[in-house]
Formats: sequence, structure tokens, C-alpha cells
Amino acid sequence: MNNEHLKYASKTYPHSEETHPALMIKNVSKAFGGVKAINNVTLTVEEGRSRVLIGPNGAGKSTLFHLITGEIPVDVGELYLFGDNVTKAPVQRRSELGLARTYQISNLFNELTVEENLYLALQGKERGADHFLSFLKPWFKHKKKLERVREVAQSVALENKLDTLVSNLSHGEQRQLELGIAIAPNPRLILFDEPMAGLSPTERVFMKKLISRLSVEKTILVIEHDMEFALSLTNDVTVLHQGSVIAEGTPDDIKQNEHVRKIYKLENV
Amino acid sequence: MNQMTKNLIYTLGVIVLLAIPLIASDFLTTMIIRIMYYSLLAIGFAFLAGQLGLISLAIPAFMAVSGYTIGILETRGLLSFPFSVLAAMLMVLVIGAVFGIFVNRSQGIYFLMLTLILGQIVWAIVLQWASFTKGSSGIIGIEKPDIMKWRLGETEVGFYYILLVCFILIVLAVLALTRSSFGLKLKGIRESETRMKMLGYPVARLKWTAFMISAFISGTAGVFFVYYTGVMHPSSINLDSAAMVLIASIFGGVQSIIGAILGMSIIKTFEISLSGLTQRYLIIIGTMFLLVIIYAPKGLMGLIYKNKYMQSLYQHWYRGGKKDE
Repeated sequence: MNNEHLKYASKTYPHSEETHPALMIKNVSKAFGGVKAINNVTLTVEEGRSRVLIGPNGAGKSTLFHLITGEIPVDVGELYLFGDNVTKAPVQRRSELGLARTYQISNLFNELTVEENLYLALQGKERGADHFLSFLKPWFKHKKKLERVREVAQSVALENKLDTLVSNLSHGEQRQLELGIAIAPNPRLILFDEPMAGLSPTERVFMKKLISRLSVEKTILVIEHDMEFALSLTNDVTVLHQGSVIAEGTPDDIKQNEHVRKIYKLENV
Repeated sequence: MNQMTKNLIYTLGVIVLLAIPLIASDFLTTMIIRIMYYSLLAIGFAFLAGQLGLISLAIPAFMAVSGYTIGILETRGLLSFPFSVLAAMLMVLVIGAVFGIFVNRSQGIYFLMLTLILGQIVWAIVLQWASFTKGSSGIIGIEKPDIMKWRLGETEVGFYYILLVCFILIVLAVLALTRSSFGLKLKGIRESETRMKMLGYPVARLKWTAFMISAFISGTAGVFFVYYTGVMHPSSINLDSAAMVLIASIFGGVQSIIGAILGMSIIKTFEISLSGLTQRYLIIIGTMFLLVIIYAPKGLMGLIYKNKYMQSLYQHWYRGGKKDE
């Protein structure tokens, strides 16, 4: 790693020498009008560990993700990323600290190619690195970045689709790209919002492998309806219902929790 | 087509452009001069529309800012060329920066409406602040700098060449910008602002910078306009001007810089040619516009890019020759 890389590393992760939870949510609440979407939620994800967030539809899981990323401001409570209080920090600041996410409904650059999508995902972390005359250099002449783009594409099995417009990709490929964009900047904490949604059985197998591998390498927080997969991923499970945490523990604890069983029975899930 | 043939075509193109004022009629040279400075307005518009998907109706306002600044400074003897031009462009950047702050958090129809309002504010100021801008009388008697006065007979050769050099430099710079990392970031914002923020991009700052670039390009149009016509009048920068830029860009292809130049060239050629024949020339232009909207919704460039060779040129420029599938 040359000095240039070290410069960005230290800029991106200012607290890497200290040990803090990757994510700490303290008594966070959020209401939309009269509806309390998130109600006094407290949650911690330790660095290097994974946590699964489950709950019936409308439990507030995706809203909680929006609050963590800063896409929606919290009403009450505090949010910490790697020890930094980011409660009022903009989305970009949280991204600088090493936060990335995928979206439940793919949020991609549809009229750009896969290569351009991944290039943008990589470039985000390196902003400010350009020379002031860099506008004269076409983006596709940045050979080193393109090599990295190819590596990321390979890791999500899209290396043969680099020149394809995103709007021409299948749903499964779009989900793979969604994941590729999230992992391209080499984040420290990744939020996966229903990564299996709408995937075919074959695509699910591939995606499960990919997320399982990432759960070893990174800190991840996953929202997933596929219980079998979700509970096999980690020992840290949180159940959200009507905006509140109703249970927390290992998969066995969760399976035996009366409240959880009741909710899921009622929901027929 | 090999590189040698391409170079030959480019060289021929440059020779033709250089030879125009020497061999063509005064009428044709005048028409090309007008096409070039109005095309700068269209480029300013197409840069924002193509890269960010934002339709700005404030484009003529920046032409007004530079034109009126030069007019006021020079007719009052406060500054002369080239300092008046520097002051004008500085003013364009300042106004562009302020307007940019107002509009850079908006998108779509809200952006369009905000820029319409800002454009109308500038128009209202130049119309109503008569003690400063001469109001509806306009500022007249703005003289060309000596460097632009070189003539061959009736043909304004000096003005033509200076405008041509500036025009080519601006077109090349904008085209370079659109395929740079910066251009790609703007396209990313066009496609998904939320994703770009999540990737750590300072979206508001990037949009603001793009708005300033667009303002600067439009401002250069004002410089050439005011020196060529010698007049700065509120009617030059009213809502009709904004509509003309919008129509020309849609005509050529709203997301394309070359399309904007092509659209403006066609509109201005028809306007200048037909206005001598009939006062109702706008009906003809309007009909043409309607046909383009119906049969070529991506503008004339959309039709041109259906040609495989032209498409490969596009791919080569924007993606280094890689074809999208």
C-alpha cells in the first residue's frame, strides 16, 4: 500500500485505532405524522460480527436502515458509527466512516453500464483525489480503477456484463450489482435490505454464498425474510415489531420466544 | 473508417470553418456568427440537461448578466475591454453561485420552476431598474474591442475568428468534461441522487459546480452577443429566449451537446432565412418541432445515433469504444 492509499485510509477511518461497536443505536425513535415507525430502539452491532434483523412487514426494519444511513433524520435518540456520533451527520459523512447499504428495491444507475456503476461506487471513496485538470482525462482511461472494477464485478459474477446497460440486466443480475456497488468501496459495515427479494432459487443459492462469505469478512446487518437463511447467518438476531425491539438473542432463543412465535403465527409467516 | 480518414475529415472541417468568412457571403458569415453565440446558450442548457437531467430556464439570465455588465461598465467608462469582460464573467460566476445555492437541492419540475423564476427576476430587474440598465430602451452603442474590428469588406473577420476559437475551445472542453470522472458523477446524480449520497459523493456541491459551469458557458454567449449587436435589451433575454434554447435543444436531442448545436443551427437558419419571406415563420418552426417530438423523441441526434457508424463514434468517445448491450 503506498502513501496515497494510507492518506485515504486514515481520512476514512479516523477511529480505527480504538475499539468501538461498528453500530450503536441508542433509544432511537421516528414518527411519521401520528404513526410511530420506530419506537425507542436500542441496538448494537459489534465490529467483525453480523446481526440479522427480522420482523413482519411494516415492523420498521427499512425505516431503521434509513435512519442509520441518514436518509431520514431521527426524531429522538443517538446513533454511533465506529464510535462517532453521527446522529445529525449527513449521509456522506456516514459513508466516509465506512457505511454502505443495499436497497430493498434496486437503486442503481439504470442508464449507465455495469462498469460505470461499479466505477462510480469505487470513485466515491476517492473523491478529492483527482487533479484539477483531471476533467481532461476520460473516466475509462483510469486503468487501475478499471482493474478494481473488474475484480468487484468478478466477485458478484458480473464480469461478463461489464458493458451492459443496467436497464438491460435481469432482476437477479441487478441484485448482484446492488451488492457489488455496496462492497466496491470496501466498507466496514454493510446493511443488506432484503438481498434475496425476488430472486430465483438458483440466484438465491449464489446470493446466500456471497453474503455468508461477506459475513465472515465484514460487519453486516441484514434484513431478511428467509428465516432459514437469516438464522443460519449469525448468532445475533433482533426481532422488530411495530417499531420496537421485542426480542434479541441467538436463533434458538428467538425460535423459542413466545412473543415472536405468536407474531409470526398471526402473520402466517 | 480509419484514423487517417478521420483526421482528414477533421482537418477539412477546420479548413472550411476558417475559410468561411473569406469565401462565403457576408450574410452567411453573419448567420454562422449568430448560430455560434446562440449555440453557446444551447450548450449551457444541454450540459445541465444531459449530465444532470435538469432543465434550466435561467440560461438567458446569465447571458443578460454578462451582456449588461459589459454594457454598463463600458458605456459609463468604468472599465474597458478586456477588463470589462473579466468583470462580466466574474459577475456571471457570482450570480451563478448564488442561484446555484437556491436551486441545487431541487429536481425535475421544481428545478425548472425555480430557474424560470430566477430568470424572470433578472429580466424584471433589467427592465425596471431603468436608472442603471436603461430599462426598456436598452443599452446601446457598445463598441467592439479593436481586436474584433478587423473586417474584409463588410465581413467581420476578426469577430468571426475570435468567436470561432472560443466556441471550439468551449465545445471541446465541455465534451471532455462529459466523459471525465466528473461527467460520470453528474450522470450518476441524474440516475440516483440517493445512491450517490450513499456512496459518499457531495451531491449538492457537484450539482452546484455543474450549474456554475452552465452559467459560465451561457455568460460567454452574452459577451459575444453584446459585442456583435452593440445593444443589450430586455427583449434579448426574456422568456422567448429561454423557450428558444429549450426548443433548439429538444430539436437536436436534449441530452447531447452536439445535438444542442445542431438544433440551434437549424432553428436559427430557419429563423433567419424564413423571417425574410414571411412574418409567420414561427408556424413553420413550430410544425417542424412538432414533427420532431412525434417522430424523433430523442431529437435529431437520436436519429443520427441509429446509424451504426455514428453510434460507434459515440461509444468511442464516451465509453472508450465499449458497446453497451
